[in-house]
Amino acid sequence: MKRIATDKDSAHFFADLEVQADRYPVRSVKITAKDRSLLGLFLMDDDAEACEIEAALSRLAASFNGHQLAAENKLAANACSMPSPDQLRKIIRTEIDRVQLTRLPCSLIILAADKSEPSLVAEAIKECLHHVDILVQMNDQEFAIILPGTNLGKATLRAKTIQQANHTHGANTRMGIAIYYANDRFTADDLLAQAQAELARSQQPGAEPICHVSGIRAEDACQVSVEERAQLFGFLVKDTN
Amino acid sequence: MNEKSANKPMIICISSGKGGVGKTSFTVNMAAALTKQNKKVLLIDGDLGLANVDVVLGINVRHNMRETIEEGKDPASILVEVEPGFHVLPASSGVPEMANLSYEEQIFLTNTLEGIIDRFDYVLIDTAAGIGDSVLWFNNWAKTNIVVLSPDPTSMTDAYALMKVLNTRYDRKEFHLMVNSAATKKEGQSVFDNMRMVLENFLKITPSQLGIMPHDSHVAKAIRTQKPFFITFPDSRASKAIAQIATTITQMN
Repeated sequence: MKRIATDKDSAHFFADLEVQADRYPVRSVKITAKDRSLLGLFLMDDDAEACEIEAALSRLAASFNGHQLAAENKLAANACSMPSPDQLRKIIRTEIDRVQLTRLPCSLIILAADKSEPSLVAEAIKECLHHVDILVQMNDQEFAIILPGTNLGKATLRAKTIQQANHTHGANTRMGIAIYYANDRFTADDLLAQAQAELARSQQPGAEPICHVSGIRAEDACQVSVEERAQLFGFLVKDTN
Repeated sequence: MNEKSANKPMIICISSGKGGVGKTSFTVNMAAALTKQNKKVLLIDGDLGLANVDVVLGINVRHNMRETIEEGKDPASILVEVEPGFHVLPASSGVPEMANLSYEEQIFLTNTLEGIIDRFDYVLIDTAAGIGDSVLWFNNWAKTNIVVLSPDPTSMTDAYALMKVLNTRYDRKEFHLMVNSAATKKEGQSVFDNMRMVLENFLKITPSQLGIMPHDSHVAKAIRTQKPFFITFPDSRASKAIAQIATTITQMN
């Protein structure tokens, strides 16, 4: 039996691919034509670097020339290096999975900038990011910054660098930091809520511009206490006596 | 503890927290002891910025892991064969940047290492002192963690701190303790018993006792001659203890 695929089949196919992509550490970008019809779905590894994605999309754009690829698709590369807010939870979930795999912590910073052009704030943040870091613009004033493999100490330093970079561009920023450690068992939503709660705390009158709480628990918990020290080598003192 | 299968090597990370407790000497000699039991051993110098496995073994190395990380050099081409079945992957010395690898570099390094370890039965990693990123990273990469400590309050505190970080932050629960430089077997046993009590009381984990290495003047002599004491002084007390520990490790499979 030979049946010619219809546009409806393609739509189902792409919808199914998108659902599947959601289950794996990949990002998907829709390639649409000028009339908004779906030409294809571009799937990329979560680890792919922005420049690689940009190059791949340029090649795709060239191959779609006959279809007069929609102008906004040229911005898809930017969308990849700065995913949409809708993708944020999915990205955090992926990073949490990665924490379980690598046993290295992941930091989430929620940044709020006041009275500044969002694109300038985004540029200032990007200056301070490594290529594995992920920046998401949540709304006009708020950004989420995911720093894989970063503990509280390093995240705080990065937050200060970001604050300084924005200050240079004339923007004042407030930030809330939350950390996910390998033995944590909460969800992506919880992590996001923690960071947002810290941001809210930083926005209180007289508060520090960078607030964090979740990381302190784990990092302070590593400090060897006086009681532990006493038990550790107390027996040596007894032996000496 | 059943990490080793027919095709997968047993990856063992040896750390101590404090420096100077005999971690490198222990690791080198354990590699020699395992080799004598006809095991294929890879010893990775995990002290990436201040390597000294090559010094303890008296071997000259022209290439090291710095070239793998910075230039993408195949680590297989860097391997040095100390004797048949015993290879060393050397690191650099006097390169501070190597002591502070970035997250990406750490992932790149371990992914690269995954490509060469399958030909070995045992992969031993001699980490740097302290609780720096590379130490924690290697400890997480390895399936088996050995902590070397001596009957010295600073060594005990640092060994405990290392285990506490690995447990609290990275959920590691199995540690094998090796008490080095014990004046007597009784002292070594007291150190282990006490450490186990503290770990059980505060971290709710129970370590296993890998062994006790008695203080032995042959160890220092062997280091000066840049040869493993297990080979130079096979009848010494230290060599007998190492042989016993190597047997214990092979029985973990």
